[in-house]
Amino acid sequence: MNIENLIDDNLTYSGKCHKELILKGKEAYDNLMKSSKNPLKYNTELLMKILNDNKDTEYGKKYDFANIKTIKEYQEKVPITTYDDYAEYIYRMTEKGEDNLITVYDVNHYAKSSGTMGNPKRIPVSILSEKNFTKYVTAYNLYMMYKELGGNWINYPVLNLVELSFSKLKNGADYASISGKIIKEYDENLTKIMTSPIEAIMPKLETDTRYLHARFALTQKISYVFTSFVSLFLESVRYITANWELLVEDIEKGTINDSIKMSEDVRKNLLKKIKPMPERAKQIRKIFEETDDKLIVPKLWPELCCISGVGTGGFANYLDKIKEFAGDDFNFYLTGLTASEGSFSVPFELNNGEAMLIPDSMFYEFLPLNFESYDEICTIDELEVGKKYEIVTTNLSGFYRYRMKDIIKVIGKKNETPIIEFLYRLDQCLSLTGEKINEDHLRKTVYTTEEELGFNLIDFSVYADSDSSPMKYVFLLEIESLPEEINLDLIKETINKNFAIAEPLLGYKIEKGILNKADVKLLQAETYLLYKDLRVAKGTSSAQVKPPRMIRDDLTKRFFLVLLDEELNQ
Amino acid sequence: MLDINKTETENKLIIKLAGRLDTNTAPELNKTIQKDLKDINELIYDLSELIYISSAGLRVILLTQKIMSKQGSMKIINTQDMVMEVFNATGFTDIINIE
Repeated sequence: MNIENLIDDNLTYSGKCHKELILKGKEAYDNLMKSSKNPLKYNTELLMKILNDNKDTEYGKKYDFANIKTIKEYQEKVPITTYDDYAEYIYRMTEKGEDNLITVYDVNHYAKSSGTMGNPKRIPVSILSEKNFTKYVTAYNLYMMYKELGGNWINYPVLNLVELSFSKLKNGADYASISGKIIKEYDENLTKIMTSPIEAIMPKLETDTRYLHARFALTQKISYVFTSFVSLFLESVRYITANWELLVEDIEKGTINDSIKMSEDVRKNLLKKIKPMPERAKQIRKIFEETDDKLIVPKLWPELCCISGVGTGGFANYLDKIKEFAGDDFNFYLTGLTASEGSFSVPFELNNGEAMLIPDSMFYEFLPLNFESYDEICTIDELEVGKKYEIVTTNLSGFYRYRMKDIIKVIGKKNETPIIEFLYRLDQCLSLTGEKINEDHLRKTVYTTEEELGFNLIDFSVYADSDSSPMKYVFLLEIESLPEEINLDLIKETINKNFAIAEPLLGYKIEKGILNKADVKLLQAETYLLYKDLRVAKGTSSAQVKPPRMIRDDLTKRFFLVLLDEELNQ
Repeated sequence: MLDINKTETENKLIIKLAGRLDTNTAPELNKTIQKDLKDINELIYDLSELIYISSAGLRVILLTQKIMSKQGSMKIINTQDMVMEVFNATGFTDIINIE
């Protein structure tokens, strides 16, 4: 049914919100398809608008934005930058309340982003950029779901697993993650469109949000799941499976089990919001008692149509694991590349991790991987399929020719617009003898090994062992169940074979004796859950804890090495 | 194999663990703490005879700490060196009272 024809009287509050967003999303989709036929034209127009709008800012005057008429002039006059080039301006904006320094657009939000040296960055996000996030992150997503799956879901709330943690800067602006900003737009209406209570959406540190998200979701119909990383939904489902008896008992009696951690005032508030639901408890109990396999998601939430979140790159491995609980025909909206600096790419269909650049979101330049001179920089029309590049952005929030340090690979084209795949962060590599091992190499190595040997990997980490001679890389794997015919030697052999395929330079160095063969050690069951539990216990939001794929500090290394499975590693 | 010996006096509970707290035995301890901690405001884990603890076991200890932080106090005593090494390396010593 055409979305315009949905009558508001028949819609719930969630339905009305969804309808409004779907309409915005349709407009975004139509614009994207149009601009994708001539991306350079739209991208150049956007650059010229940004330069013209910002010609009277301090930065604009310094680099003579007023007299730039072509991309070539822009590249000649304006330098390529990193965060350090803006740090002083951002200090003046956030601490002294100055404006018109790097951008003329209003900025009332700074995104928290981890700095490479541990100092958190404050990435400005203008209101103009925020609108783009809503358009390309939320609205476009919902339109894609509506376009492909119809609208049976739109009247139901969302299971949102992104938790918000806001603080204020001296100039009064919000300081939080960008995903939090997108959600906060709903403000006091948040809980009308989400299954979780506000105590789980904006939680206090000590609150057990895993319980709350699960508990409240189990008592409602769900339209879709919105999460930062798809792995968080997998964890929610695993939590429900492991704790269903406790959850059912609480739902039946309208209680919150004493073992669930939260402050007394939070507990008191929550207890006011819940009532006994014996019928629903009976249904859930029956589902768990009668389900032989893991397939519980469609039984618990028949209306649930899709999960939206990052599910490519390092998270692609989780999709099949989610399907074990949700069914093979379950749908994923795999969000494209989005960062605090802007929305870079979006998928053009469900269940497809390929995502196309958005020509009207920011102005793009690209540095070829291993470039020797900035002269090699290219524009959106010059990208070659199969090659890897670092993104350089001129965005709507005051960054000009800013090196993102994100490496992407061009894997095709939609109309004339490149389809990209995020590979890894340039500043996140392991290196023992000059080779640069990135997360993409590691993922390819481990996931291919998992597929070839047929085991079920929970997660993995790798560290560079510079104490051994020759030096070597060490893979730490947590495996759910190791088939009898698979032993550690076979895993090591397969890992080494695939590691050398993923990065041929390694194979060469190992053959020459410059590096030792990679070692493999198996971790005890529940090690990655423990890692997460401990991080949460120490105050990190559960939504933000990711497994450390590359271990680069002694404390983390020590943590994992003390949790090796002594029997399996013999 | 894990032996769980409980001594309860008023609102104080001492749980003495002997053997191995691992993937196989952790669910048993988990059941114990789910049902026996009601009305307890002082919990002591005596680990004098615990010779091994795995990730699954550590998670149950952490869960116990979560429960007790709400209703009283918890401490771990008489930890053997090998288990203590695990507590140190995993950062448990930063968040749990271990004597």
